[in-house]
Amino acid sequence: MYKYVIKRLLALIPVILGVIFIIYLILYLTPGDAVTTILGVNYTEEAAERVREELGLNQPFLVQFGTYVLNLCRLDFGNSYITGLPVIEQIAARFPATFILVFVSMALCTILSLPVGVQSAVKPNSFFSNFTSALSMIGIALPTFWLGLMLILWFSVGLGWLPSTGSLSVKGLILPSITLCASFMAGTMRTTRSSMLEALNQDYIRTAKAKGVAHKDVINKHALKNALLPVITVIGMNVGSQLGGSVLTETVFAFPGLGRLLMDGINTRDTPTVLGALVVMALCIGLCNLLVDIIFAFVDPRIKSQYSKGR
Amino acid sequence: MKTKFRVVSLVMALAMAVGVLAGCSGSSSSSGSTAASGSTTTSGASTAGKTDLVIVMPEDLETFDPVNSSARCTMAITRMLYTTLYVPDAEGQPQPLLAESMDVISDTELHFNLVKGAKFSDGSEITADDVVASLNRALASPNFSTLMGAIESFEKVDDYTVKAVTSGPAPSIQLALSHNGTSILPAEYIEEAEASGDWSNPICSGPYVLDHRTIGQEVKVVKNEDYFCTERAAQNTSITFKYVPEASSRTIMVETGEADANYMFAAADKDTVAGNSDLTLHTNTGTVVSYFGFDTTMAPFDDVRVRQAMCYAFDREAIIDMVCEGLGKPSYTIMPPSTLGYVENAGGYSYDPEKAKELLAEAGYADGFTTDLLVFNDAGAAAAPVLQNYLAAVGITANIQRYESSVRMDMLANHEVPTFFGSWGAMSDADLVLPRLFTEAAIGGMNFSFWYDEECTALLEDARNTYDTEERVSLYNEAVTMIDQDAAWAPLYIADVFALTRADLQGVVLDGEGLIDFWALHY
Amino acid sequence: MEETKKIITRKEILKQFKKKTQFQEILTRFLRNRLAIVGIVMFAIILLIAIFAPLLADYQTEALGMNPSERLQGPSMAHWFGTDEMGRDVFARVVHGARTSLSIGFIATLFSLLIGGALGAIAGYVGGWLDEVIMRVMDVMLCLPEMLLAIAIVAAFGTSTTNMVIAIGISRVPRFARIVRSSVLTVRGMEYVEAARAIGANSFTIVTRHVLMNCLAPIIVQISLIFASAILAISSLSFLGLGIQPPAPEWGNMLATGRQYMRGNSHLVLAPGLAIFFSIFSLNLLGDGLRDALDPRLKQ
Repeated sequence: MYKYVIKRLLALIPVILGVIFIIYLILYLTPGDAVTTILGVNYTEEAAERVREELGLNQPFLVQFGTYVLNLCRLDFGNSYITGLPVIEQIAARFPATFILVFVSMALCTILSLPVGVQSAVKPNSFFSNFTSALSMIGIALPTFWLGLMLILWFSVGLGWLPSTGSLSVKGLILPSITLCASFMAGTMRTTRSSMLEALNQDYIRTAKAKGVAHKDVINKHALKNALLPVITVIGMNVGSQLGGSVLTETVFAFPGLGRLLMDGINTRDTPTVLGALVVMALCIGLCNLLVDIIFAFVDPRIKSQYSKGR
Repeated sequence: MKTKFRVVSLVMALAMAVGVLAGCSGSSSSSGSTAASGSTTTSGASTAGKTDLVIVMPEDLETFDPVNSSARCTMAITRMLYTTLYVPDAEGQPQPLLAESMDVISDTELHFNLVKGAKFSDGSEITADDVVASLNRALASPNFSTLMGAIESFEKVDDYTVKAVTSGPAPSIQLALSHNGTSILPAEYIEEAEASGDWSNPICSGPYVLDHRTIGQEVKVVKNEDYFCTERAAQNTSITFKYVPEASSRTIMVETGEADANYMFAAADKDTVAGNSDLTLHTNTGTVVSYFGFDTTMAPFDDVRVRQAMCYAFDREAIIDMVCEGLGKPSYTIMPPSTLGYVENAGGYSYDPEKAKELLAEAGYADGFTTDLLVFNDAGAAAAPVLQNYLAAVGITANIQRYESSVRMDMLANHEVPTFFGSWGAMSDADLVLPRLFTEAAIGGMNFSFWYDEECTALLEDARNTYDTEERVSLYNEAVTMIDQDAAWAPLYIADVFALTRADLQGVVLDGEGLIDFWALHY
Repeated sequence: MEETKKIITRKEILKQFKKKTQFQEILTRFLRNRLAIVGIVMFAIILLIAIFAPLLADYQTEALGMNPSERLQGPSMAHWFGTDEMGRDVFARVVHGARTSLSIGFIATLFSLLIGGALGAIAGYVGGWLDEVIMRVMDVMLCLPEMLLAIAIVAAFGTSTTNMVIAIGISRVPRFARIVRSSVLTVRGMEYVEAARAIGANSFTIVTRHVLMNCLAPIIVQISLIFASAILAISSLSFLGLGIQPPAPEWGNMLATGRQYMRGNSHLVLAPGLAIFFSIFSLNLLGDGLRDALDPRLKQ
């Protein structure tokens, strides 16, 4: 089992390096001079040269990239061009907010869509099934930011129930997490439904039913357990897209997370901050994929047996 | 049959979704204010003993270093943390603060007597050494050297007396020393911070001390228990300045009670708060001139005819209607009427697109040109499309570039964008306005149009060297006329200023730029 | 007399038993799916509106030209969707916004199809280390959410229409690359391709011909889905201020400015929001319908 986990972990490293490389390359190609952003105006050529020297900007690209990655290993994301403070401090200040937002939204999404998916698989072609799948299609097509604006209009301005800006409190998380999860519920619901349908058609379900196992147990124990694998994959994949969506959600709700940090970094041309925010998001996605793999190993007996035999 | 069922359920789901969303908008327009007031009665009740206030602001703090920012929100916060020798009142007149009195020794020497026993937040006493170090630093910075043009240096006389050596009479010095840029910091701290470049842990001396700052989020300040000026002591225990870039979010936060005051209220929300008895919209005549600025060293704005054309291109009344909901006055000059030396319309400008086109044609741009327009806050973002429209009407295509305010100074100073939407909150003495904006010495500081003129600079020098107000006014009139006729800016309007607060918040004072004296706010 | 009658009968019999062509079959299946019909009709309407936008409202005077005296009016006969804060007709702006969104979305989709298709084909056809390299890069790109990749590209190169097309296009390249590669691999192993190669046909032309036939179905489905996601991405980027810049009407930037006035003037956010919603909704219905029609096995 450990072998499997370690193998997945090792496989993750090149992917993460690749992601960082792509992000680094894109931002490296940014036109404009970092020196102007740092020194502002009225600087001498010597001062500019010194800054380039300090930041290693006169090194070849690959050396710069290598240095960046090595520094990353020491959790050194460089210093912000604007504030001069270490980027890691800003990330550390913003990360928990985004983490909690995405987590709550994932949980909400799972709690809502799993039972609905199961139910509509148990009774396909029912009104409930069709109605919820129609709702989920609407959910996909609603632009995140627009839904956020509408929710603010209704719940904050109209009814005055919830704050219009997001924050790390129960009330402050409700609207942002609903906004964020709306477009992901559909995918989870559909996957649950289709893999449940598939599971329910299997022979062992028929056997169980024939044996006289209670209907509830057939669904919950036999079918759902087997149908869960693809659902876990979809949920894991959603984390990445949710992080992408969090940029919009955080902008709408002025939520103090990584997405806002990214946008602020872009608007102030603060490349280290932009790079740092993107790299952290990529790392999260990578780790999440790893987590899914590990959960898979625990749930899927095929992987389990393969590695417990010591192969 | 089966698919028919699907279509029916789809239609139902759609109807439901649209119903919900329409419900959102319906309730917002009709019952919005009543519902909001209903909900806030609960939070209104809880404000009674509230001593921790929240003020929402459209820009994040740029830096705690007083000489390195002149952004309004930054200055509003740092003013609460630092002390200055003088402090401006709501009319913009300087009142003594750390300086008890000023003695005019001669035309070239002034003495300031400091309050004894004033302390920094680290417990050390504020002495002449700190004042000298702080003021000389301001004097050396490109941002503020022009603010104190007549002063050559500051020197220590004794621990509680500071001498200013001037080149001649300095009629505006007290007002100059009330500016944030002249805030007093410990001499040692200045040295350390200059060496390390780290200004993030300021040593305070104002009515508040810094509690914490989260970049991009908030700055929390708590009452300074040892503040020397008891009549300006904080009447609340803390203020959290929250950075909320979106104007309507700021309004909503005050409505819902999440915030107690909105530092920069957008006029667009005026109607939505009008009927709400939980809120008070404070308003005052502004002193902030909003203008269409250009880099006069960059073609085609190096041509005076093109610049003058810009002064004719905009329908100021209509812009005020569209950007400020009609609450403001058109401005044809670079200063507000409240500033000494004001001339109403020296350039004789008006809204005359035909004349603008003629001037452009004369300058060789009959077919117009394409340029970039920099905006850096939501007021600018709201005005930019309107300006764009008027520019298009005279054949100019302007592409909007939006950046945060902290990078705008660099972008302008490095000639990266030819035009921008700016605003300048003018102090009440032209000596603190014109030399900071329209002299060669101010390039690298606040002179973003790079406009200066030897003759004009000489006029400003002359005006500085006399205490005779009448003479000063006539000299400034001449200088303003020169600047306006050469169209260093295309001034647009002076918007009324607003502060939206909870109705029961006491101690609200507005000057020509907005809410001031946060220390007086209390429930 | 007897003879001819007999022949006709045989023809008729043959006709009756003749298998429908694949296309006809797909069409029948598609037409039987009412949701897909709803989708295609909805999308056709939006497309027609986009194409004939200049006939519905003049771009210069109605979508761009401001009118201070008519600002912030509610919907009326003169202005179907009301007017915005500069007195511009919201209907004209929504209609011309459709033009912007659909054309840029289409170009971005085409861009990612061409690049992704080419990369996938090269990877699948050449194989070996090149395949390995291309597919690893695609895997890595898939690890980065499309929205973030697009934001990074626009942030680095600045906001312009071209950069946005590139940003949205590139971030969706892996999806096409994977589809094309897998169908190249499938086709390469097919007996008829080997047979064709054996009789001396140029293997490249065979593969391209058959690959095209083979992956057309999933690609068409992907085109409609990616088109939808591109439209959403355009408005998202514009909403963030990284996409289409004012004064050009675009749904996302209309929402960003309308947001300021939305409380008394909900039409400013309802109109562009619903426009985005219906275009994405119709394309998704269309995509689902196409998938069901093209590949009945996938249908639940």
